[in-house]
Amino acid sequence: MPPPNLMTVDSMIRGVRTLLLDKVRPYRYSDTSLIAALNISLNEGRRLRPDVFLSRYGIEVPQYEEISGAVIPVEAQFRLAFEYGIAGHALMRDQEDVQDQRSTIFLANFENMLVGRRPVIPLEGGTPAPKKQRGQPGQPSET
Amino acid sequence: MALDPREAQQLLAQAQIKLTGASESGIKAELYDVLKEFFEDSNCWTEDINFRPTAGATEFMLATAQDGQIIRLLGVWDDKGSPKTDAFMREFGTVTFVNAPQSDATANWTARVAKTITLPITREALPIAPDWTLRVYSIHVLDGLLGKMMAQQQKSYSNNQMSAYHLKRFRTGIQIAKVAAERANLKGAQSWTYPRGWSSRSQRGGVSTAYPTRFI
Repeated sequence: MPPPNLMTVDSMIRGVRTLLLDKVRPYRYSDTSLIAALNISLNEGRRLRPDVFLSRYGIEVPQYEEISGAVIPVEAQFRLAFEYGIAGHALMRDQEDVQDQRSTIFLANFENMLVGRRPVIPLEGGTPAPKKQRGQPGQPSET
Repeated sequence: MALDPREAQQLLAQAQIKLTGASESGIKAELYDVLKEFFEDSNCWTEDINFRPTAGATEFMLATAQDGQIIRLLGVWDDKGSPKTDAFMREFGTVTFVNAPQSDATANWTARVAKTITLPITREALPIAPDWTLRVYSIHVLDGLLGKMMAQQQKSYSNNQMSAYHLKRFRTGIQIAKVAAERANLKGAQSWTYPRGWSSRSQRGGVSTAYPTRFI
């Protein structure tokens, strides 16, 4: 399978699953929830940058119902922003503090990359590291 | 009749280089407005349309052979080449005479009209305009495009100061195109004027001349 270039729905969802560390079945985030996140991100993109969705005689925002090879009609330079938007929206459903932070940063980057008024924020948060055990070999005791 | 595709590609590339974060579709949409203003204010896109007047009629529909929307009547000449000074165009595309011709014309008369772009656009979402537009005036069109894009608010390429700069250059470009069209692109046509020392701020005690007019 080729690496995701974010051009089609299938490629975009695979790219988002990479960001979410959700590439092994059974998935933590269902296909339906990610498609919903894609549709919502496209609508939000329409609010921020309607010119991205300009067709010949109007503005058309595509909506999808399933993962397929359908092309997402968004210029290449904006696809990463939508990948971040989908990931941020998917992470919003989690109730872990660290996921909330990542969700917020993903969504902020989504907006920043589309509007381009602020620099992209570095990602923070993530799965907490396991607590260090006392007295492990090679490590000084904390006492 | 369409824009030169290589020139159009070059123009879009130049615009995207200078407008970080701008979409190609957004630039094409703005290009439509830029060209509309360019043609409307310069009258540089003209077409000569033939029509055959009939006795007693005062209104004659003009059928354009090419694309574009008629916006202005520049003149009407009869079949002998004499200008008809009583013609006007209240309705776009219809020549009206104050005095109806006394008899049917034996040959076509000519109406010269100025035109601008209109819908539809091409499949590539580019306006339909003469191919010489970008070959000759691409620098001025690019200035208009950059000025209008930079005037948009809350975008990565928003820049009020540079917008004013480019729009000023664009208006200069429109004036250049207007003068060139009026002189039929003939270099030096009626461009002379009296030396500065002859001019006066008012006509009182100074030199007043009807002709020639300083064009630039």
